[in-house]
Amino acid sequence: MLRWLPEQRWLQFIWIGPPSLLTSLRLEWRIALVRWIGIVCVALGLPYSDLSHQQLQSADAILVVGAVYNFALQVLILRSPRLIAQGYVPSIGDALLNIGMLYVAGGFDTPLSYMLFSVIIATAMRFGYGPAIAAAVCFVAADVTINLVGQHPLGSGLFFRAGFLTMTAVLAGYLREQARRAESALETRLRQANLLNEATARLGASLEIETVLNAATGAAARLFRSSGVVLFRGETVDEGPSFVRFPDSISVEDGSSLRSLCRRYMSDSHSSSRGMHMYVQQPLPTGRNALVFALCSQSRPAPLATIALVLPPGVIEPDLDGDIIESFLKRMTLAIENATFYRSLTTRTSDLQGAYADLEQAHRDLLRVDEMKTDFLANVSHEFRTPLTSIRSFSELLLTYGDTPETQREFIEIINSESDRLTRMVNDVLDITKIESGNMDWQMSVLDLGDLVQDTARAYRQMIESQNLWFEVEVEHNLPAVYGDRDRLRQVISNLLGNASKFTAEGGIRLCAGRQGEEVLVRVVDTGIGIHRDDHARVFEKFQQLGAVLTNKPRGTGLGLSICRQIVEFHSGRIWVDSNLGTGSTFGFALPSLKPASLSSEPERRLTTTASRLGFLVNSE
Amino acid sequence: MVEQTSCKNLGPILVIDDEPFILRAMSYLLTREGFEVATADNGGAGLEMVRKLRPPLVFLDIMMPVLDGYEVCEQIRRDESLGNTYVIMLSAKGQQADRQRGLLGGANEYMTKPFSPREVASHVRTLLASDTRNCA
Repeated sequence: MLRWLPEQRWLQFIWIGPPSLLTSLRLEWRIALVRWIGIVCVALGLPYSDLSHQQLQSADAILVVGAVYNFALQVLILRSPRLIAQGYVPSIGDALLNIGMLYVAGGFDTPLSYMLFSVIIATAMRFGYGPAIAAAVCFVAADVTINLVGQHPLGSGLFFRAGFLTMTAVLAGYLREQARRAESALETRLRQANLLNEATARLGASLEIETVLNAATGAAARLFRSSGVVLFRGETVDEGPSFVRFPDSISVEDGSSLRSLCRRYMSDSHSSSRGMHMYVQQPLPTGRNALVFALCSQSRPAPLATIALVLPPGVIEPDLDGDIIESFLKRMTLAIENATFYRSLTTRTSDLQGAYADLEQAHRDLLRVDEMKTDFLANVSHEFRTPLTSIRSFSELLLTYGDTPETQREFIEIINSESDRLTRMVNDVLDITKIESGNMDWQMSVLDLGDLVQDTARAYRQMIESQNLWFEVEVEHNLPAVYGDRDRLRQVISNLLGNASKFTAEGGIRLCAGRQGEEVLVRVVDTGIGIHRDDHARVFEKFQQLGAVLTNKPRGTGLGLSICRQIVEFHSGRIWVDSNLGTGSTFGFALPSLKPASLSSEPERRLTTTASRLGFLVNSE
Repeated sequence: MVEQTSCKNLGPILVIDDEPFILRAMSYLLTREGFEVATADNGGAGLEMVRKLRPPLVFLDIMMPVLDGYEVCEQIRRDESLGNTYVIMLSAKGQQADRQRGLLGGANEYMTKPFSPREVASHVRTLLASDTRNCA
């Protein structure tokens, strides 16, 4: 059990007590008490002894020395328990004192007396009370016999020796008993401490709550030698009751009774208000006893968890010290608390990481928008410079060089058309900026796209037919209504028609409107130069002008189709192109149609819902 | 007189630009100033004409179909026989980065649109006059 250092063996020889005695402080106090009793007994017995005057004087001196030593020893014990634990003070001091007391008590008449006392003490230490007292009785009997045989009178010296021998045996036996109890108590503690350590070794191995809870139930099962443990962490709204059981093969009966015990003590405010870990025994229907603990932490009003476990058959209460159980519960509480805290920490960390990622994304988006704006500005400035260059060059040429009126007229016409182009560009840029920034003033209303197509076609027919192109318009009857801005949608159709006429030298243009599913479609089909498939995605981008315009046509701004796309997308519609080089192009767009039934019955409400679906407010006018 | 003529015969001034109005303005201007002018409306055609006509001076736009101005300039500089070609980039791209790229790519000058025809004319006169003297 305890380690005994070899170099202290010689002390052991002088101190005739078991080694573990030296390490028990409380026992030392008891020994001191016994020693006081011894000193008092000897002092009381001295007057009745047959010692000579000289012997009495030395006996008194020894008693005084013994009393002082005993007192000093207690002070030393108080001051320095370590010194006692090392065994020096009691072993040397007690050895000297013992010899002195034996000298007095035995009258020092024969070396035999000394040997007798030593034998009795050794017997008591080795075999306990019984043999020691028996030995003392034997010695007394022998003493009496020797005295009787020697025809000596049985004087008070003999009685004193007999009494003292017996007392020595009792005292030594008592010392031994104390030592043995201390030793076995230590052994038990050690066993329990080892069990506790083994059981809780895995508690701190992880911070994951599931692992910790499994380790906790496993540890409880090991510590209490239980065949079934249930741990309850209370109920949460999103997870429901949270039970952990050990082992998985726990019987249904035990499991349900343990669960109900857990629940009962979780809501028992008494257990938490006491601020300590309570444990109670409850008989189970199976006849076994159950133990329930509430794990309480000081930071929470309610118990952190409750644990119920089945005790082994026939066991009423665990053979563990209260402080061992308490220490176990404290460790479990700490581990569960830490794991809970760790989980909330990781949740918060991941929340923060998510928020950080969102912020980063928003930042990237903003940067991208900013970059797009910069690019747009650079493009705008670049695009504006081209017509400006023409205007400036030709006006200066006109001013510098005199020429024929025809040439002058040509230059002025160029200046005029380029001014016009510049104006259109400024308007387009304004439009697109307004749409993109959400500042466009949309005049939304219920409208018939078929009507709008016919209207627009009328305006363009003359222009298109003057180019020697045929122009067909097909509009389906009874087209469903759409919800949109009439002028802006007209702008889309005009733009598509304008583009078609710009890139078509011969053949013609067909404009049609029809329905397809829940949508109303408008298409502009031409027989022009067409667009390469690879460029389809680019045509709707800003400042992307593909292919050469027919020479007699004004140059575009590079923004027309981009504006068309923005307008159509605002109406929750889609716009597309279908074309190939040399085979003509089809540009089309589709808008979601309104349901005719709801149109007739509840126009107001329908408008509002459509408006909210489209994401804008209806103009209250 | 004879030498001057031969120098003039070095070749016409070449204007490469995809904007028809700018070609028209430049060719009118340079013709009126008494220079021979050739034009091309894209980079590819322009490069071919540079190789064929060996012009002493090239006005070069940057944003053009087929081959852009930077590439045309690079090709001219790669061809050692065209070492004497004076390249003026004439572009609507007004940013410092564009200017740097043009000059690093081998252009002699970088002019931003819009430009003043009178200034261009006087600049061309100065350039070609010194050229003519060298030639003499």
